[in-house]
Amino acid sequence: MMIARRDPRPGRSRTLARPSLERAPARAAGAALLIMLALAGCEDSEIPQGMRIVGGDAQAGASFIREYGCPACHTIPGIRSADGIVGPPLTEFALRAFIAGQYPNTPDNLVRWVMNAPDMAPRTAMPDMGIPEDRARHIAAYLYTLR
Amino acid sequence: MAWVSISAVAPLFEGQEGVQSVYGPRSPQAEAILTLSNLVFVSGAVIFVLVMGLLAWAILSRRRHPPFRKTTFIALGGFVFPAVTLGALMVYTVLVSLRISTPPGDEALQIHVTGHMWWWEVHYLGPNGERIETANELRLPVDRPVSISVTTKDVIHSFWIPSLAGKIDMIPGHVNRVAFTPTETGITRGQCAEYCGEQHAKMAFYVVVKPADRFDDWLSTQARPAPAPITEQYQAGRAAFISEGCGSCHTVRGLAGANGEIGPDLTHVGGRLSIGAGWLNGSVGNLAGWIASSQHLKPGNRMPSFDRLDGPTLRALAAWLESLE
Repeated sequence: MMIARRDPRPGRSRTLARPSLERAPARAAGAALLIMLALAGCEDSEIPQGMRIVGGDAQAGASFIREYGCPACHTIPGIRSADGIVGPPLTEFALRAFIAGQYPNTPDNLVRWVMNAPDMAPRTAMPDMGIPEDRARHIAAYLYTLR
Repeated sequence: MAWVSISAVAPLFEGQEGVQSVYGPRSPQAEAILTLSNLVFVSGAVIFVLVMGLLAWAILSRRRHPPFRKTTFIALGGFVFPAVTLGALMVYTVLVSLRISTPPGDEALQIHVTGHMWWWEVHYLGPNGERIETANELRLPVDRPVSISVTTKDVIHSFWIPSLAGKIDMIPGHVNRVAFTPTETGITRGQCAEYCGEQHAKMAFYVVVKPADRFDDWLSTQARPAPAPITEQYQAGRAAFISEGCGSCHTVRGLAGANGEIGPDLTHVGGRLSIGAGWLNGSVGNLAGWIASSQHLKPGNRMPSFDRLDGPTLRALAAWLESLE
């Protein structure tokens, strides 16, 4: 399938070597191993330098996201029953250019936003939930795993 | 013999003493129910193994006749054994039932709980017989008997706090009673145990067992009307509550015009552990989310989604409600 997609012209793909059936399981296992290795390294290596949160622990962030009730308003991948429709979905949050459409999506801005959104955008519907800075850092770290 | 077997099975359930589990009893009544269920479970398992063993023997054995007389076998296995085991079990069950359904004395704390689709209305009777209303949460003093009378406004529900007592049906126009004595402080959870409609699963509540003096403090706070708003934002929130007509469904004691009875009493909503009947943590964020999208979070509940409030108004309303402790 991969081969056909690379070169959609009929006939051409036949000239390329096709994986033999005997080798397929080994290849699949190899690919799975590569994917697992890539995912294992995800936390550190795949988050760009500019988006690392000092002192942020994504796993702790996930539990604070549940505790502070973010799921009631936001759709957040990886958080159980986080399918809120009040605020914007946070899918691929690390790829977003702006926070609330007005602040560049930098770690500093994100931590400030999580701690006290109305302070930055007085018309926002997102309440100030009194989240202390260390917890906001964990939450931000989680949001930057969403790619 | 049964006791040895129970202790052998018990480790299976270790680590299950969660916030809502029959395997973590916190009252003598729940403990009696757990012992009874373990006994039934273990003796049922023993009899099952015995019967399967006999069956295997009958199929695999080359002998054409049993080693004992047929009539003896039928008399013992078909009559004496069931009569003795079922009889003993029945006597024990009746004793346990008597023990857990003994009405408590006058010193018991009286609470009324009314089921709604999908929340719980809770009334305490104060020392002078006055009614103190709250919702979706029970707070109880430790080591004092509690008598809970239950009924329902709509369909049949079932009131169940697994670690404190057995299930009891909530039937329209009829009052049932359940009594127990919590022996441990801490938080446990109750759940509607009879399918009551679309949001049956989201019909839960927390039970907070406290030392007696802290319970008394809490009850006297609950008896008071809602505190006056102390900040501009709270004032704006209260104004929004009135102008949006929230008071036609909700009561906030001390606020003129807010005496609705369709939804939970919100006089002290900010002090509760959850909103939406055990569904969301009680926090300002969840309150705002609930107000703006209650029909999305719990489809079919009686409250419309107030999604036409602007941001600051929504925040003010949520903040004011959270301040009502």
